[in-house]
Amino acid sequence: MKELYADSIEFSYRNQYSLLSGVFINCKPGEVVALLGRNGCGKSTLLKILFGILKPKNGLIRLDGKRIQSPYLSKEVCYLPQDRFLPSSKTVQQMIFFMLKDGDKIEKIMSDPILQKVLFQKIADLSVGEQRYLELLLLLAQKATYYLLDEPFSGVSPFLKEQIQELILQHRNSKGFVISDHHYNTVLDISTRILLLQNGGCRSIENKKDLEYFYVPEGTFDD
Amino acid sequence: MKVYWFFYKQILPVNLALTTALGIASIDLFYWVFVSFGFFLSVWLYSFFYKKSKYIYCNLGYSKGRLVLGSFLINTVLGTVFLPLLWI
Repeated sequence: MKELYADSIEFSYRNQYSLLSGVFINCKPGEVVALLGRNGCGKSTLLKILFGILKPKNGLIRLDGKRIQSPYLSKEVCYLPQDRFLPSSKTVQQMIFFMLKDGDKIEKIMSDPILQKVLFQKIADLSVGEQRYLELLLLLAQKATYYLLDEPFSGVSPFLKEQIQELILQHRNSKGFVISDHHYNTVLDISTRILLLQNGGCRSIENKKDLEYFYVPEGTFDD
Repeated sequence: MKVYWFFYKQILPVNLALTTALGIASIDLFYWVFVSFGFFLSVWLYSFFYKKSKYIYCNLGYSKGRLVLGSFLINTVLGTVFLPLLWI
């Protein structure tokens, strides 16, 4: 069964209170899971644990039914961190050639209308939105099935937000996404399921009214 | 190989600078500093100052240990091939 599954995840930073206590989260191809929660509630930490670069104090991670310690080593899971991760001294074209092997994929990305204009620019000279768009395109061109996106819409212009949403929707049929973001409206537009990380655990949110009750001010979704 | 080489190219300038600085004291130390202390210190410095860069390699399925080992081998080979030229 194709699924990224984590259960009983417990985590605390050194000398601190328990940040995650018994978190359960799963994601299947075809799903876009919106992971919401207040600042410092552990969303990024949970994504890093799911990716495998942070070890939980306790817990179990299964990838397609197999228990696994570091999901990223399987190349089945990709993670888009909050901050820029591509080296600023390299050009867009250099990074495309570095991160992709398949000639068709390289050609497809090089002909992307947004990236075409900035192909020979250094990463440092791109806007935040262009950088996020490039990072996401490069990750989506990998063979991974599960994508953990940490605030992909943060600091991005409305036009590029739409483009990023479009990209996610295009790949939704074959890939599964877990997206955390403060711009909950942008995430909710494309999500198939909502999880709220609160008090160290994940709460499933059935509808927007539930979200008003637990997370956003009352009346936010009144039309 | 492409990934190891890319990582290696990021740390090589730091390694060369460190090795040159320490090699001034004694040219005999140059090779050993380049393939050991200089290499590992430059890996540490690179990881410290460019923390986010690890996500490139992780997203390609490479662990830090694997990267360091691969680039260490490249460094040793290059050091062995090119550094004897210093004595010519």
